[in-house]
Amino acid sequence: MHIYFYGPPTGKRDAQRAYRLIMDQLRQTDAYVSTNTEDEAIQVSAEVAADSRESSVPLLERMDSFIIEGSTSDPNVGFLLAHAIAQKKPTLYLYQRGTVPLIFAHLSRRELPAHIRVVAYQESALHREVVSFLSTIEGMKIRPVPRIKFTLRITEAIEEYLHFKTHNTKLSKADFLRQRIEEAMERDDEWQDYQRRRRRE
Amino acid sequence: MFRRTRLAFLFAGGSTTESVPRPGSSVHGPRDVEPWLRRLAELDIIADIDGACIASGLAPVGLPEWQAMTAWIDRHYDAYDGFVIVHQLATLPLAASVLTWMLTDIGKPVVVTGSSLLSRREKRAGVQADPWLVQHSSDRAGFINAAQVAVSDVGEVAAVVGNTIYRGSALIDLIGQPLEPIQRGVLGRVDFGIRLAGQQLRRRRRALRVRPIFETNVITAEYIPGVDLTSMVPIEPGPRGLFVSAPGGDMNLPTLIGQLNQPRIKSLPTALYLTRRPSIALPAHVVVVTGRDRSVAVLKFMWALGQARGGRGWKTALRSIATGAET
Repeated sequence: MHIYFYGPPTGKRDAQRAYRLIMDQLRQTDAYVSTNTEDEAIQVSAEVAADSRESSVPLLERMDSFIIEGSTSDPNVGFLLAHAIAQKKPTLYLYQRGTVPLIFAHLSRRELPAHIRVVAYQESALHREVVSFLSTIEGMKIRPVPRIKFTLRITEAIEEYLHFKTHNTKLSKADFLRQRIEEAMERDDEWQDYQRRRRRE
Repeated sequence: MFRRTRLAFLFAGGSTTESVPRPGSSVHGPRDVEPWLRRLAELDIIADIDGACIASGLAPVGLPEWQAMTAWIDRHYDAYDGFVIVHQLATLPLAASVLTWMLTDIGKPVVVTGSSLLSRREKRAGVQADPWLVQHSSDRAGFINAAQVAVSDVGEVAAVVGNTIYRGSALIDLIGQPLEPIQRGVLGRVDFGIRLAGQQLRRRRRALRVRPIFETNVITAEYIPGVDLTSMVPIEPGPRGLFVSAPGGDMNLPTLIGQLNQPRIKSLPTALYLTRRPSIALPAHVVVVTGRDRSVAVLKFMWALGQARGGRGWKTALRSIATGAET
């Protein structure tokens, strides 16, 4: 999954804070995230990079989804939005509440296709808007931030095993355990059926 | 007061956006233009766009169509901020070169591009294209890229193929070549935006001067050792120029020069197409033309003769066009 986030270059602190909030949220996903907001960081899979080089298809056309901060008039905003519409890619178009993006002078909200979600945001609710959008994208996995403290006493053998699996890796023992539990949840048919029934209710 | 950018899209084939034929998926006549623009409504985000159909694209697009395009641009130059030529891929590289010469003094962008898809009608008509161009061209996305270049700070003829923006006259020489990160003749690239390398001629206010005249009464011949060139040059009606290809390099030149000095040929403006500049002196009426593509060289000669209109200025006109890769 590849996401591109565009925020027009700005010196305004509120805009820069918004960009950081959006990037923090995007880093919680398992997607390759590219952006112009942080020294133009480009992150794509090796396969996409190689394919783009060989076929000369722009990386832009390899993105699966876009997030555009379009509060200000910027030529690239229109360009990216046009591509998102043409490629039918799920797109979140954000603008600060109280502003009227120039884009709506040329294309009304009603004319925008359903896969373009337009949201007027306030900074306090920005991360929820981003999470809400990301959760609609098929194949997107968002890693919720662990917030519940859970104390677990373990045996020496388990401790030794955890050390063996995480030593000299970037993974902490806690992260390793969380991953194993999440995998078990994915494989547990009974749990998955239960979740499906709950969602229907 | 904010003024929206206005672009003109001129169609000559190469417009197909979908494999399934639907109203607006291709432009083969004037009535197809509005449905096509409605189907690509996302272009409205970039600029206000008007369209005109120059050719159906169901037959090879060539000199008459290119002259029609420049005439249209000349008539409407002040009304638009930029022009996009949607062009059949088969002759797109030639078009990009020819338009560069005909619109030498242009101060606005003229962006040539074309779709890799073919409509059913185009397939039935036998329209084909260079496989490299087909592989590297986009369809719908390419038109967005071209529109974005046409609103940018470019003041010359450019071609957009895939993710690369070429100087119009350079495309023919760079097709199929691996590109360096910084490459003469490459004006920029498309990745997450249009990135111009800084080589481009920028927009500037100037009165457009169109130079559309080509002298097509030219004999083209390939020199074969032992075959008398004069037998290929008719007496009546007399040609206005002679274009000779000489494979074999310097080895054939002494004999060839002897032939070019024969009375009937000596008075003819002559272009000698070689793979590289020769080391020996040539007669005064002969100018060497080089380049990867012979068709471009022929057209270049015809254009130069057209500028001189029978006078001597054809050599100056010919030398004034360097290919984009050489500038």
